[in-house]
Amino acid sequence: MSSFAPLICKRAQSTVTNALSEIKSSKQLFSPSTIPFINSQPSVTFTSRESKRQRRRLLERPGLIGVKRGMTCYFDNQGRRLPATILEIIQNEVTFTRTVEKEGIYSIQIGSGYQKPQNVTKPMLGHFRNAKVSPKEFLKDFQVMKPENLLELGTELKADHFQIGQLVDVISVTKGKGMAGVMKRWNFSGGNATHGASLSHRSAGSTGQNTTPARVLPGKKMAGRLGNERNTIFNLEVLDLNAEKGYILVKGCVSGSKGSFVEIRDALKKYGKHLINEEK
Amino acid sequence: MGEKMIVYEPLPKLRNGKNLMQYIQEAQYEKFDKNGNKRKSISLSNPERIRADDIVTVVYKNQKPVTGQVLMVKRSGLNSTILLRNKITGLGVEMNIPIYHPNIIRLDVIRRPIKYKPRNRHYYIRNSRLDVGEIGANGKN
Repeated sequence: MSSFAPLICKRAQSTVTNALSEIKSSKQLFSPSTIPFINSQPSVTFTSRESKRQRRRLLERPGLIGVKRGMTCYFDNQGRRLPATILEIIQNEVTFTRTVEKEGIYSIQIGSGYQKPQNVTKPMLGHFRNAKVSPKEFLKDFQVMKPENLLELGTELKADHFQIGQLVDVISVTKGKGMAGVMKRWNFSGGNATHGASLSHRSAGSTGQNTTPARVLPGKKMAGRLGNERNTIFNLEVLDLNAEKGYILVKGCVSGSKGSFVEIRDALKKYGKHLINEEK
Repeated sequence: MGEKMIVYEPLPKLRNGKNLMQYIQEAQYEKFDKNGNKRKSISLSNPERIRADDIVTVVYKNQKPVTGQVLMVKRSGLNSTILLRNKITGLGVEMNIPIYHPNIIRLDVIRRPIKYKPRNRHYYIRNSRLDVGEIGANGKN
């Protein structure tokens, strides 16, 4: 015990002080060096996976996987005309769950869509067989807070998982635009149209200084690949839903092309909680 | 695929396999245009349809009717609109009217031109000699 050092993590418990706090009177007080050993729990360091999980903002239930089908408008009861995106909820079933003991997180894997068995690899067919569901086209993990939030394998999720009027986040992959110049990618102004401008109408202009620093600073906005990246749109309102017909109408636009898979979850900024705050 | 591999059947198809967009559009028409009058009024197959150059009065449930000359008809399902132009005390005023709005009772064509202009979008008449006059409720300048 001579090499005892205070633990840096706020959540870690100093076992020596705990042991000493149990000593009631001064007659029992003895030198800590005479204590042969103390049964201590492994400390939770600040950078450990469990510690990070407890600091994350998490939801208590999984989301759904939808397919973007297109846009329409929605007349609400106040007479407003709102833009709405139609998301189809098809074949949503729980295919797998992960636990802290094994994988370090509690999460629910949800599959959507249908694939012909001959187009699916054998290992994946076994994965779907274990959950007793049909082969899925798209799989996504939704992390949840506690072990009691986990669902049974094969549970079907329908559009009435959400409620009308609640807020959701919609995550999808934006349309790829390929190699794009700075005017399109970063909204630069470009060059002059006239006044002797030659071959530089849409160019980026200067990318930095001279001898100092003699290099282009990291993060400089330049031409390159645009789009085809994961994008989250926070706090979209659910305008309408129908579990029987299998669709959700959310207010506003959603990234991606028609027919692309989107994740829909409860709005993290509104309904998400930190485990570390809950215990207090 | 081996014989031992069990493959489960997919869940039953929703809406008897009907396209979702088609289903929603029909459901919306059923809700907002039960008798089909609004659909008919802009349908291209209807010779009596609302066209650019017509003078139209929009009758509302909860407000005064609006009259103006149609600049264009935008057909996009439930989101279809007509653009009405009028002049009020010499000032050009335009209104984009969503025709399937539940507060709109009906659309009355109160005057048609003798000959239609050879375009479907009459944006070019704004502030020109072809511009609309001050159209009253009876459709006359």
